[in-house]
Amino acid sequence: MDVDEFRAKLHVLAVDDDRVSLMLIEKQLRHCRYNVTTVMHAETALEMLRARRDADQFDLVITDVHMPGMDGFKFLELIGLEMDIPVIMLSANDTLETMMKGIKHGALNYLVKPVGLEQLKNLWIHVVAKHMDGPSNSINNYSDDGHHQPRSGDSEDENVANHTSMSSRKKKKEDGTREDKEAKRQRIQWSGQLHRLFVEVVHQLGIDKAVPKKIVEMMNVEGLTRDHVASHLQKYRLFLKKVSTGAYRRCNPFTDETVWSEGNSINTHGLGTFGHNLEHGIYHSSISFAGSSNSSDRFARMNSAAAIGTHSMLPTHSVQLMNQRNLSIPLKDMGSVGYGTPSNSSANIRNGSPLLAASMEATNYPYRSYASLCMSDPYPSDGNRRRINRLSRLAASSGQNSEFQNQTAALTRTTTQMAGITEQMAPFNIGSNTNSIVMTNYNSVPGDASSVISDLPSIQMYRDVMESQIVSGGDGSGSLLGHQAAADQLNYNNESLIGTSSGQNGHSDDLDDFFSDCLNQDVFKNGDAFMDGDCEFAPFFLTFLFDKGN
Amino acid sequence: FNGAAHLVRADDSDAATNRRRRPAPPGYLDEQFSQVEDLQDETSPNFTEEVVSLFFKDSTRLMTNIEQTMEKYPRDFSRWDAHVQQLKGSCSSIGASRMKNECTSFRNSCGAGNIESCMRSLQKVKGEHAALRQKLESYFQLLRQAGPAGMAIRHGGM
Repeated sequence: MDVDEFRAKLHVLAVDDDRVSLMLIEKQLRHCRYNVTTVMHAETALEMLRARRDADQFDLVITDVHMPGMDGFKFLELIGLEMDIPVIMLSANDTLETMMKGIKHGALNYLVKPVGLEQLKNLWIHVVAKHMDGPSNSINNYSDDGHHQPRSGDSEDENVANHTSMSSRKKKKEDGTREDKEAKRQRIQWSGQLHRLFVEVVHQLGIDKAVPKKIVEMMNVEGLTRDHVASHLQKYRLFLKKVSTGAYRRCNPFTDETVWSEGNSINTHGLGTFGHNLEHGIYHSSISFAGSSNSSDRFARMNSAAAIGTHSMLPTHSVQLMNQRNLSIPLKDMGSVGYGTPSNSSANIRNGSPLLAASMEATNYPYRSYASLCMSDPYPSDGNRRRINRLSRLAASSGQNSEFQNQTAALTRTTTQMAGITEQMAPFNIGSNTNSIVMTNYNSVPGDASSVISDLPSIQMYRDVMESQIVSGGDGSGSLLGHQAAADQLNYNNESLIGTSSGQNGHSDDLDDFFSDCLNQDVFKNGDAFMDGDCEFAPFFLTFLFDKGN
Repeated sequence: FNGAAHLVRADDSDAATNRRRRPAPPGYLDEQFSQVEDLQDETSPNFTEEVVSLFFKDSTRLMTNIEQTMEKYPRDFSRWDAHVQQLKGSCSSIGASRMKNECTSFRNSCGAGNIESCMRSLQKVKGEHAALRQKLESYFQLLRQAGPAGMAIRHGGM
């Protein structure tokens, strides 16, 4: 097959309110052998796209930017939220600002009118690239290492009466290819905005209670099915696990600009999408760090925004949600995200469904499962458990010894170049061990989260953890062995510490600390990892950390 | 002789070099117009004229819109600008370069919040619009007169 023949298989939807423009682009696209459908309004286009969700979906959308009614940006956002189709922007507007806005909203390309045949001829590349490069794909690559841990997400997938008779594992593999139309049908683009919403909801429900059914109800995004959420949830959990094992060390930080840009888009102008209720909570905190622009700062910014910003996000969002009878309502009211009918989340829950079984399994997650999520196996061996405990104690007790403080203070100063984080962390006191305090606070229901928020101590824990990593030489050994080395080293230096913290042994089964440690160590170490397709998770896993739900 | 042809081609005498010789900008039409003409083929033998005709219909309506908007919303520069932007987009699609330039200058006036210069720009745009219409009507007439031979000359350089 040559390129012409390939193009002849593609179906393009062109949207432009200008008839001349539309007539031209249609002719040009036909000239390139694409199949073309033209519409003059984004609303109409959306209807068409939605109608074809299950069959004959368009392969590519080309849209103008400035249109009466729904403009190109909003259109773009909605496509991103509801379906996974590449979108190209086309406009006479060639200002940097508009072009960047287009890309930030998720456009794969931005063509300035008048556009030539040569530019159109190769648009098919975006179609292929899109199917190869979805965020789901990078997770799939990492998850193919033989893990078959039962998780609620898995059982969800398997139990779902699904016209594909594929197992969840097989479905994962095929996500990255176009071979199976039905797998394709399932795919949804988890834009930054959508993911944020997802994390909000998961947080709201509590990670161990966040089952796909509830999540999808609360998210209330048209076209988002429980399957989508189930697989995303699974990936999210996998992601967290992988982060802790340092599996992302080798990722290219800059592969997925779009996803990162999605994050930025909310910072700079995303007032529409999440609605006024959430705006101040989310944006206010994120915006404060929007200043830095270079790559290393990006990470620092993201994590500090996450560390601090998401904390501020908690109360606003939680409190507001708690003020509503129906938890799904405020989410539904969010600008473009929610559609259609008010939902009754409680009414929709089916009894006796596999879902219920799954959710019960989820609620039975003990805290130690969080740590186990971090580690390679869900049921830590004794050896691992000892390591876990050691590190727990380490993190818990690192603040108590002044000599240690000096050492680590010195070390942290030298790491300023490594990541800008230490600067942000600087104001926070090394002194006290407040880990357990942090944990207890978060045991409350979401509505009480507001009491937790001023929690600098939680930041403190990051710092503790980071120090241990630094001591291990920051050599990139995110493995448990590395942790152990760090732990051992510090333990040796601070034997009295161990003695005084023997009381901490009682916490050996409270692996929250370790969980946080795991994640944080690798966060700060492998910050780059968050720039790839999975980085959408990054600012929020820290939120996740502290949500112990009930 | 060729009132319309010289809009696009510097000299119609040599078919082979027609494509290479362009009026120095700002001509009434730029390279984009050639691109439009290139799209014409057997499946749509009057494509160029159809596009141009559509352009004049829509741009006339747009300009009326602009005028009404300027009256109805005095000093609402961003609203005016939005309309002019639309018009400009249309112009660029068919390569109407002089008209497009006037639109740009109109937008600048809107940006500057300068009512007088907006008014002047509007008049200039209308003027370019009228001039272009005249030239293109002649051009198409010429092409029709030249018949198949004329079309051959047009596409000879390909």
